[in-house]
Amino acid sequence: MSEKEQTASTISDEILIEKAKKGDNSAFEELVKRYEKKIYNLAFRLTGKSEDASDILQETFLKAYHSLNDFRGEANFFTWLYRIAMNIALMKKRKEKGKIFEPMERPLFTPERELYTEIPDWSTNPEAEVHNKEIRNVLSKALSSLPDDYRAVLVLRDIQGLSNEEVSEILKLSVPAVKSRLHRARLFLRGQVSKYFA
Amino acid sequence: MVVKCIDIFDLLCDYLDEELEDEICTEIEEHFEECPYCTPFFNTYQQTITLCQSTEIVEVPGKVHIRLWRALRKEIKK
Repeated sequence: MSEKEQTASTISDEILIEKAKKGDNSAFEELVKRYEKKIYNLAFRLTGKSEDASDILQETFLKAYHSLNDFRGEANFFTWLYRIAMNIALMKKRKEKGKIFEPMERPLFTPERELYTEIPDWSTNPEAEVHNKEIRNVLSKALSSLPDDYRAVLVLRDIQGLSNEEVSEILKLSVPAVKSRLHRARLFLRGQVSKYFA
Repeated sequence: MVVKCIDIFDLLCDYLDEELEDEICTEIEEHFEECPYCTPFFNTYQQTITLCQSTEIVEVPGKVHIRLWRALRKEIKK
């Protein structure tokens, strides 16, 4: 890395934003370089399609460029950027035909609130290992079957690794709402993977 | 609180995210020791999270990258 590149990469987002607001386009470009891969991955995991992810990526940064003066620093820049990306992604999804969502499978409980049936444990099955291509496909398919707002929470929390508070900020949901959707999304995915092993 | 299977079902997310108080965590762990049904449920729920968390981070494809920067540079020049 050249000295110039090294200096650019150590400047905080806040300073780059201030420079960009004053017309320093190279500062904005540095911000794009920092978040291009993250936003692409977010869009790709939300849509499952590279083409759609490319559209979302482009629209996100164009919108960010034009809205930079609206960013006042109350949230982190990346939270603001993620929110733009999520809104664009969700708008895109709403234009598609509605999906049929199977209700979350809830195990049966006895009147004493105990589990009624045995649950198969596939967690140690070699086919359930993280590198197994087949299980990745099963998970990917299950993810795309989730309703948009559940998928959004799951992608942000478990795939992008954001905290409940960050997801709450991005999606403008309460933290309890984030947790509730996350749990239901995880239960749905678990159920779909269980069907595969049945 | 006496933890039942139905409570595990509802609390598992918060338990794994370490959002629960120690007392309830202890009750949950005691329940796992006694209940043969909840342990598989816990294991498979946890493995589902592990699978999600280990989702590959992909590189931005060349064409996508070029398309983005072409659009940005065009907009910036205006």
